[in-house]
Amino acid sequence: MKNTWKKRLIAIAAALLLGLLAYFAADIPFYPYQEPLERASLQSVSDGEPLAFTYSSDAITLHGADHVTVYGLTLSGMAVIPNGQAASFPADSLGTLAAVKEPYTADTNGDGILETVTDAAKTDMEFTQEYTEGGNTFLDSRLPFEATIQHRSGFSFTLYSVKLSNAEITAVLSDGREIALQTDENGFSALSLNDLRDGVTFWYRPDNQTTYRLAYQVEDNTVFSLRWLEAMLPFTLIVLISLVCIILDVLLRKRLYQKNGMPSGQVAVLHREKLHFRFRLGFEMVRWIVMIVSFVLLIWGGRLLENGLSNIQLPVLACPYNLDQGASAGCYWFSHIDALLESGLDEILWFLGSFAVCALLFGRLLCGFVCPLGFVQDVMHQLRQSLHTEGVSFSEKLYDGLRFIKWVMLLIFLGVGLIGGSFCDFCPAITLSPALAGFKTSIYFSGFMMVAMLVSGFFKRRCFCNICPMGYLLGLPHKVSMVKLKKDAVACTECGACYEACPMGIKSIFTVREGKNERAIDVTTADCILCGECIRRCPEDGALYMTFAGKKIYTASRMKFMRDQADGKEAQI
Amino acid sequence: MSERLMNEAQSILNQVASEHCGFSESAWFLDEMANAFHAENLKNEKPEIIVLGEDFHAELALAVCDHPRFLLGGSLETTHWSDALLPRDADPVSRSACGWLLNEHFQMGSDALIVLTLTNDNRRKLAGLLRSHGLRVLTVDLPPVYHTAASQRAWATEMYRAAKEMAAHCHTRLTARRLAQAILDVRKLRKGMQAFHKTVLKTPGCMSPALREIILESAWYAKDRKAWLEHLYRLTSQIAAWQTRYLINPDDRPWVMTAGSPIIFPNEKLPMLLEASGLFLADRIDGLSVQMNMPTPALQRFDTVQKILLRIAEVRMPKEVSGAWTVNEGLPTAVEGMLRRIPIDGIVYHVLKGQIEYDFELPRVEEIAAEYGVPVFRLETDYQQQDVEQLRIRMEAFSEMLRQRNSERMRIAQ
Amino acid sequence: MSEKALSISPAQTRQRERFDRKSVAIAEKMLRRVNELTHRPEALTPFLEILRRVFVDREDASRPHGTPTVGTYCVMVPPEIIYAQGAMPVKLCGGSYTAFSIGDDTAPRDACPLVKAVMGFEEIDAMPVYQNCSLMAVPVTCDCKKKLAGYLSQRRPTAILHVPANRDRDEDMERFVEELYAFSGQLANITSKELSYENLSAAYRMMADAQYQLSRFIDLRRKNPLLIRGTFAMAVMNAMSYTYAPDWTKQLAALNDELEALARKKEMAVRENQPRILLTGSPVIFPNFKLPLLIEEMGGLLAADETCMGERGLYDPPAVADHTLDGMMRALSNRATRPCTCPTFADNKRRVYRIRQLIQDYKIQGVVYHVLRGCLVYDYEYAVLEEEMGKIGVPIIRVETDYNEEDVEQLRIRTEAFLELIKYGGGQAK
Repeated sequence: MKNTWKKRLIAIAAALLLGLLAYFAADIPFYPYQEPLERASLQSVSDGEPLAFTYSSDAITLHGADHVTVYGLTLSGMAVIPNGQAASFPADSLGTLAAVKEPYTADTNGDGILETVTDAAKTDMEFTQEYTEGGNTFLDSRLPFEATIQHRSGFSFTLYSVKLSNAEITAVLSDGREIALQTDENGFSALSLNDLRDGVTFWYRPDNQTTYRLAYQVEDNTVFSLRWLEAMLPFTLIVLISLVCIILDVLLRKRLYQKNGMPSGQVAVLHREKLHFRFRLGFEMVRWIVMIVSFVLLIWGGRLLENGLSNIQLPVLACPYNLDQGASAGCYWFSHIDALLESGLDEILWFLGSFAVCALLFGRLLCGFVCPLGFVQDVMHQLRQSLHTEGVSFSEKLYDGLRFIKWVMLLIFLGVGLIGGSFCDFCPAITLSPALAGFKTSIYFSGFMMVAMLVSGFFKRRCFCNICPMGYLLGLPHKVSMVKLKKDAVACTECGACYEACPMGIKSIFTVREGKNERAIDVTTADCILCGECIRRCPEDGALYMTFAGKKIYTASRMKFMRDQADGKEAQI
Repeated sequence: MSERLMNEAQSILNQVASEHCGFSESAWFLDEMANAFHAENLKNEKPEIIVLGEDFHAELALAVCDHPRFLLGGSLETTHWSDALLPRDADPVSRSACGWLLNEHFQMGSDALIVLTLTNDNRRKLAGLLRSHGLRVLTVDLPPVYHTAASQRAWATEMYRAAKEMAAHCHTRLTARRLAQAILDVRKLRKGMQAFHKTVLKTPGCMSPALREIILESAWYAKDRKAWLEHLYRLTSQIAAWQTRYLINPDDRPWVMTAGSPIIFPNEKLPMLLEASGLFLADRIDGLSVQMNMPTPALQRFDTVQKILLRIAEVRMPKEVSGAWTVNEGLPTAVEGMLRRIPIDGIVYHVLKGQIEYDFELPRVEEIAAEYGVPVFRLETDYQQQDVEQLRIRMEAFSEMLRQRNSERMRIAQ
Repeated sequence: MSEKALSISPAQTRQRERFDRKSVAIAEKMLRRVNELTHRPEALTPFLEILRRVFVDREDASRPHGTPTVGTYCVMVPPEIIYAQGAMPVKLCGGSYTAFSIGDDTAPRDACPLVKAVMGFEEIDAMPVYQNCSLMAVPVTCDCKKKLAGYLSQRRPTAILHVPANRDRDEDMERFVEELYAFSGQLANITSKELSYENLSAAYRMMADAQYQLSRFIDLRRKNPLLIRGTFAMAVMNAMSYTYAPDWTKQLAALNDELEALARKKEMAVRENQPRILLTGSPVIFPNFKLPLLIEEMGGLLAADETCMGERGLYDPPAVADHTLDGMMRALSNRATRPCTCPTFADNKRRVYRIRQLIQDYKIQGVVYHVLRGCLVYDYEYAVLEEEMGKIGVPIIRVETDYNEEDVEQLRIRTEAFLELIKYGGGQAK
């Protein structure tokens, strides 16, 4: 009995510790960047270029700054920036700048008629582009023609604070192309995000004697630039720390094994082994391909597919702080339920709808095939397999411990937002996705979580997935989802290979024998991430198989198993 | 039908009831035994823990449960009940144990956790069989060697794990204090039993060996062990008093000891047979009796349960005489020890049909007995009464031989 | 006591000569009967050659020069570890009647004939494949094996492996991993070669090749249950005990090729109406091929077997989930405990499922349950199996026998009756 009390105390202590860490996550810095307003600076140069803002890392330069007044948008409205120079910006600045030239006459469209040209430039710093909100507007007569960015790809236009609807506007992209646009009551969204990255100039000619020009530039997060390297710094730190931890651990264990006289495994850093990589389009290969593709799309999808954020929200831990995602991540609304309830029926319906569809259609197939954190963990596992380093095999007791932590994580996930904390400062995904896409995101406790995830994922396959709250929620409706794992209890020899291979430690796959139909027992559980490892290791024909909407998509086969083993080492992927 | 079980027990008890020189205390013990087999009691008896066999560490069972039921499996009637379930060659002890638990007359095992050690094939398959009938079975998988440190640790770990599960089942706590208390209690019991045995041995004719063994075995069935011990001390002093008061005729019967398969009530076939053939059963070495002579480990103040168990493993494992080990040194060593202590004239090696592990030990025992010049007689039997006549003839011949050897020796000595 | 070792008494010499004569005669007779069965594939010859070499010519198992042999006594001893550390495993469960009669004097009367035969080998000192073993590895499974382990450990270097009787908890299976590591240490004393990732994975590959060929063999038989006689399959599996694994693999590959060709031409070994029998229970060890020969000589087909010297000797593969040294050891321990249908485990329900699957795969019409006299554990499971066979409507008979030939006629009559029952009584598997 004493042991149960000890266990309970440890459990409560662990839960409290996790809760406190989650709540105070924002106060435990791993790598905080300076505030964007503090690190940005403004410089105006009269270099004869057309009036426009450009960015070089955090430094903003205004080109063509003769006879120009520079304004900044603050909480109290439009404020003049003296001399067009600023070493940093005050705290009440909203991060939007505008520069307006004194009107002059010129013939800009070559029709022989002189027009009054009002030349302006506007820019929005990166942090102003919230996940769903629009940009900032001046709505001041000093900036008569204004374009406001919406959803990172659309614009609404105002003339003297009146919304322009049904207006013809020409947009000139940075490569010189001219696009004629027609606005509707919402503006227009025909430009793609990539068009905006290098700057776009809007021309509005309401009549042939008036011309408005606005050069718009959004703060870009170019990949493979100096700025990108700066954004990648925290993640690089995390990887280095994880490597150090792993190497220390391996050396320690080797020392321990040698003391006990047991044969220690080989850390084959210097070991040369022929890589037997056979490309065979089986389930495992398809899974890797899908994982890589979704990793790329979830991180750089917006850039590659030239789309803004869609309304469909995948319930995986692909961080919404990465504004360049191919599809949004639903984890934000789960962890900020109060914000969800305040954001309007539309948003709530999209959120619930996409979650329902994903959960019912795919269930935890998303965990096994799509989630970028899952991909990272699989890469760590594969690294260990290639090096033949000993890992840690979890027993039932340890899995029970993990299950308990999963409940705690679930509580934290859903609840810490309601009591004033933010799960995003605790979640490891924030260290990966935004950094790779070039967004400078300050990392608080998440950095340590990511180190823990990488190190634990190295030694135990998919360790984080065992405690992931998002995964648990996805797994809840597994009974009615379309993807199922089934078992033929008579063909099964209870060899336990499936249990040994399962990253989630599901023992029922191999112990269950009873069911309505002995030959097709449903063994999908809420933990199963449908990675297919169990079927791959099953040596009996048809003893385990995966079905999608009733059709078998992956069946265990003895000859395939034997061939894999015999063909000079089974393909390790 | 369970009356037949009661009757079987009762008839044996009646037979031995008068085989002593007027010690009134013995009646108490016979009543205790009768109660354990009484039909009504069996119907109502629902123990929390049932320990199958004598090789699970009794002190551990007593530490976690106040009244564990020890099922030793000696009754012929119960073997009939399990005939359909077990193969022909299963040994009668397992048959009886199975019959006790799986019958239509009483359901002793319905609430219980049944504990058994997997020391032989029968136990292993019995565990599976009982489980498939819905009983809760806790198996203790002991290592097959006893002399290595690793195996002693394994023994202690297995016992600890089993005890924890038993404690959970009984809603008690397994603490070092309770274990130490149980060890001390059992030590007291053992002391009493040894004193009784020594006293009786002084005058062989005062009590029949069958009665003596039944009295000793009743310890396993006693509801109140303290009271049992008191009664035993009273009986011992009665015998001692009788010994001082009366002049006893010298008994010239040859002294024999039994070794091998255990003699379990109500299967008192062997003691009665020996008595009828004119032999005196001085002592026995089998799984049941060796429990009486087990050494207790030294207990220190701040020991944990695991440490105590490890020490128990060190002292106990080499002394076990069951067939649980690959090489069983315990049995030959115990035999040798007894040959040195007590003037034994012959060894009757008892093998129950199906208990093949004792047959494997026989050559070694014969070797040791030969060193001491003691003949060994192998007796293979089961619980049935059909072969009693045949065995009696053989036994009488053996007895004759021993008598002649004795008189030869006497003549030479003179 | 050196005199005892050097001088052999005349009685012992005569015993030795008698043993030689009789065991050779019996082995030859069995081989002849096997050869006389119809539709013997050509590629079976090398396997029968091995049996002849070991039992008639009394040679040692052939292997690369300088490789010590390790005698194993159950499927639970993984051959992978032995090969990895530079030795070769030989399965020494005894099937010889002559050895059995010698061991009869030492072992108790009711001990199983397998153990008596091994004790006989030890006494008679006339079987090089037995005598030349540098180490004996005995898993402690049933009582007789347990006592055999003790007996051998007093005469030769012996490694004793404690097989957990319970296997539902993870700790039980992991305990066997420790046993395997200890065994590996003992092996290293003999071969001076430590276990490492490289040599263990090379040994894995070796055995994987063998298992691949065996799977081909099984697959061919499943698709064409009448393709090859079960006695031949039994000879193939028995020969594995004394063959260096890569050699056996090559021979089996040749046999598979021949069978594939026969299957394509639809040349079956027996006619459609011959009853398909499953043999299960105590192992059938050469030269005790009594039962398979009886079944097939009396007109049945031994379509499948569920015995540990037959197909089960190499059926389960070790499924490696973790490509490290410890991962491979875990896989070996897993394979030795979890899917094993040996009745010495306390809970063996998986054996029933396995037999049901075999019945379905090979379209079995009758089951012969083989119990060696003295094999208590298989006897215990007969009741359960009888019930299950009753549920699915497959006839089953229990045949208790031991190694001597005296009861052959009785068994012949019973076998004939059983086969006729199936042929004409309609023993249809549901």
